[in-house]
Amino acid sequence: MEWLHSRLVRPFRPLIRERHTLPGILSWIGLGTLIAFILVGIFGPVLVSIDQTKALAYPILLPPSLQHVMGTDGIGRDVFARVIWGTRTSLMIMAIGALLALVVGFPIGLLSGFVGGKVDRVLVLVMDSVYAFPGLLLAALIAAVIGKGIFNIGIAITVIYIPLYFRVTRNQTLSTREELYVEAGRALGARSWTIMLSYIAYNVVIVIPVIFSLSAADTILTAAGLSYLGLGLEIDIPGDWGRDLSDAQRFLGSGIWWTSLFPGLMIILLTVGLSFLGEGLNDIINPLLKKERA
Amino acid sequence: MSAPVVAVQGEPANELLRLDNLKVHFPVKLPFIQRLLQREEAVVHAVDGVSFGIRAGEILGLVGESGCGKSTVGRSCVRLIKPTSGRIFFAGQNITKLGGENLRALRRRIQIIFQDPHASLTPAMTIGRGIGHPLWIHRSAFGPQKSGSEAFGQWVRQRVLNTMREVGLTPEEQLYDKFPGDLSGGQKQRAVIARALILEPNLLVVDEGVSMLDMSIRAKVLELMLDLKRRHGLTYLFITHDLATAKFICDRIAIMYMGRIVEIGPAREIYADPKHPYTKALLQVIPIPDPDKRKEKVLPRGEVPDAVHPPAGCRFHPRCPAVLATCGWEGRDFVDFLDEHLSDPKRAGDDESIVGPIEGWHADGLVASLEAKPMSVEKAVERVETILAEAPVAMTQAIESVSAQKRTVMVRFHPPNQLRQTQVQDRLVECLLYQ
Amino acid sequence: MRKGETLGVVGETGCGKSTLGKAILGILPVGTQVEGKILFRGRDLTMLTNQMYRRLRGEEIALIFQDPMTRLNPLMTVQDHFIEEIQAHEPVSSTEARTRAREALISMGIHEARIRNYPHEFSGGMRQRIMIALALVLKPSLLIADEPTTSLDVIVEAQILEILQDLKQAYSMSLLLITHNLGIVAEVCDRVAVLYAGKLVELGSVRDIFHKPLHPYTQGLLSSIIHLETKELHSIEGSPPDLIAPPSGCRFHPRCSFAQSICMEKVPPLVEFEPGHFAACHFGDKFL
Repeated sequence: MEWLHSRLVRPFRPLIRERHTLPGILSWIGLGTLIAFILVGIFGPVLVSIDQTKALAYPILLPPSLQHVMGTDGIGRDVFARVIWGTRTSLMIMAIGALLALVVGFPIGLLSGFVGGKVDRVLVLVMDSVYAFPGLLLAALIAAVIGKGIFNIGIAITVIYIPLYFRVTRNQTLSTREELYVEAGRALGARSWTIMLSYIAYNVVIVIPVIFSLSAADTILTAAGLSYLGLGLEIDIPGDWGRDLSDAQRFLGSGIWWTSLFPGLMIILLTVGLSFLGEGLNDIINPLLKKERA
Repeated sequence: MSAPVVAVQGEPANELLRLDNLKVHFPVKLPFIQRLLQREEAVVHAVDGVSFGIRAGEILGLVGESGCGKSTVGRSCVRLIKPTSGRIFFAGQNITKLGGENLRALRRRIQIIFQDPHASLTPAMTIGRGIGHPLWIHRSAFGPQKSGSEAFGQWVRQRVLNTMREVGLTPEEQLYDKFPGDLSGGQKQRAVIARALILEPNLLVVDEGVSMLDMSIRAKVLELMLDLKRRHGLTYLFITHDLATAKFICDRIAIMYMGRIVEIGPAREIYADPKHPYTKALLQVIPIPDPDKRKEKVLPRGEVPDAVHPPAGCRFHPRCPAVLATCGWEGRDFVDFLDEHLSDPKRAGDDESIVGPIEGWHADGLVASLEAKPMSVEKAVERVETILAEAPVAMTQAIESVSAQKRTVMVRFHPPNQLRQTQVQDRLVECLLYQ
Repeated sequence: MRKGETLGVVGETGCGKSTLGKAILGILPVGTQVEGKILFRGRDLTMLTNQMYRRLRGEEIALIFQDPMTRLNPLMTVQDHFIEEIQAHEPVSSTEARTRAREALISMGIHEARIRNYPHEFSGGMRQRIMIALALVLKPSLLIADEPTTSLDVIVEAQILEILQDLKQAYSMSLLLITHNLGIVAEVCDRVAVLYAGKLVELGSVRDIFHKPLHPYTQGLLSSIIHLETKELHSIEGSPPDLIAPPSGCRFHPRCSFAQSICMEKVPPLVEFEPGHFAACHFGDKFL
């Protein structure tokens, strides 16, 4: 019970307490948007038949109507169905990218900050050089090498965000390492391993939601960018906002707005929502960190 | 693998802890450029030759102002800080270089309590889990009979609850699942005490353990510590800046100043008749909570000097009201005196134009020197001698010569007498007055 | 509070003693609700506009804080601090401001050559002296010192208190000393105000308070002091209350050993039990 409470309810306490402040409102809007997108991503494809997303399912370039609320595109696919299925694609890439980056970046950052010394210096150097490389270019390079597909795109994007997780985790670890309770842990006879996991990791984890939501927003954009460049997913994926946007571009000149507006709108909505969440959490959690140190 | 057991000769057998000429020097972090320019490495002489013993069952008070090195001594005793040199013995065993599993085993027997209870508790652990965590850390030491994780967990919980009750952290069942942020300052310090106590240590180092607590609860926590001592036969190293608290709780007192123990002995005698001028000064400034007993105080001058370059001889000499000519006067004492003299326009007159400016003076060990200006060197020497007439007698007596060498004015001091701890009645004092 | 006296305000963490000091200076956080009046030379300070307050601060009332480093700007030399403070209130040239700054520093025992140094180049005690010099450079008639010596060593603490005492006489200034240290109060104050949980519980001359305290909290606080003569430890049961939901009636009743039912129901008024000695306790006369 205590375990459940401390893991599930406690993290939301600041969010609940701050619900009337600007960061609190931002976070809740962002969280709401994210949850809405997740629901669409899970249940949308169940409700909308995949057949509608295939080429030549309908006449081409129909304007929005009752039958096709968002119209059809240049090769006769229902834009609404594409957008719904695209949500699932985007969320999957986001989840794979952000989770992989977290799984790799967090432990390395923790270790680097905790061990310090030469190990730390080398890791920081490596991560910084990766970070200094233009993100989209790096992802495009990797994508070109390992090929298309949701999972591969996820990996390509991961590489960009590992340094971000690494940096934040490491810095947080460095400051937590100096806390009195860590010294107290040493005085109690805890092994380094125990100190790292029981005394430091718990207190570093709270910065993760912030980087997660901030980098997730970026992930969506990068994924869309890759698809836009034609380096993203396979051609037969049932929904891909970036590619759809890229395909729609050539029709824009002829006054056909619906094929580009709706995928673009989805990208904007999701990234703005995630940014709200990230920035809001950042404003809430950072003062908390400072207060704990004071 | 076990560490070699070394018996210390000539020490009482019942001594639980002994420090033998302990030194801890911290490197000063300098900017890169300065590091290149400076040849010798700058170090803070936090602890500079401290020796004392604590007998089993006694409370030794280590008293001094902030930055005197008392916390560093405490942290060295529990091996949180690596001594630069010297030896530490615990129950006859040399623990100075203990490492690995031996050090972990030692930690069960020596525990430390820090000043800030809030910062000592992990914010992410509940009170119960935090107090019980040492048992998990040392679970292998608690026998194979409790090997099952479930059974061990139950046993830990029970022991935590018992300890919480013992330190007055009640109602224990309710507080068990609370987080440190939900507790008051007094309760948090009780939790810290419980966590230290649960391993049943022999020695407890209390580093300013009650200083952050409010007056009205401080006494309660002190009482708890005394009570625990009686019940568990604990030995305390009680580190504090508060002489009044130390008087109440300690059997013996060690007074520290700038990394050295200046006086150590039975509490009762030291309070009744302090010998070292620093001890006297400290005792004098304790406020007396009675408006009818206000009195004039003779305060030491200035503040504690920089520990990177501690004063020569007795470290207290530049501030000491009872200073002698042999206490360690050196070049920079003269520069400081001159600085003070020149900054008072009434006394200085035209002195600055002859022996100034103060920035021109350099102190190197026993010598203070001035690269002379076009002005006559002889005149400057003469003026220095006039000014010195106003200096403290002890300082004037300590000067070997004021001379002119080529174009340099030099003030040279006699080397100080060797300072050593002297037995005075039943205590040790490090002061030339008693040597 | 009278002219030229030293009033000590004592109480434990969170009793509202620092808030009191800030309220007098009108530097409480925006949005704080203030009720009641603060009378300074017959004027109600709570009615002042920001503009008027700015003039008042420094010229009439000055404040020194516990941690001098929080008030001194690390990027400004000591001299700049003085010039800024003086010129904010008086139309004087920089040269004259500098001369006055120099005088102020010398009176605090700090070498005038150090006037161009930055705050971090001074020791803790020197910084506190600079703060005091800065607070006094405009010769205010009231100085509020909020725990001025708490972060200092005991010997330096005694030095600073001595300086404050001397200056008070030299400038015939009133001093409001906010502290948790009753020993200091006994040594330097003329009168004492004891706060508990945001309320004034007792006010009287330092002798009244220390020799015949009327409020049980004052009594508890006095007996819990650990001093050199202490033979036995005393403490007050329980811990200070939560100020979001303070106890009903007398705020001290849950920790008071003399509490009766009336203490839970009725807020005790501040009564003058003997000339100049006030206490907010239903049973104050019992301890006379």
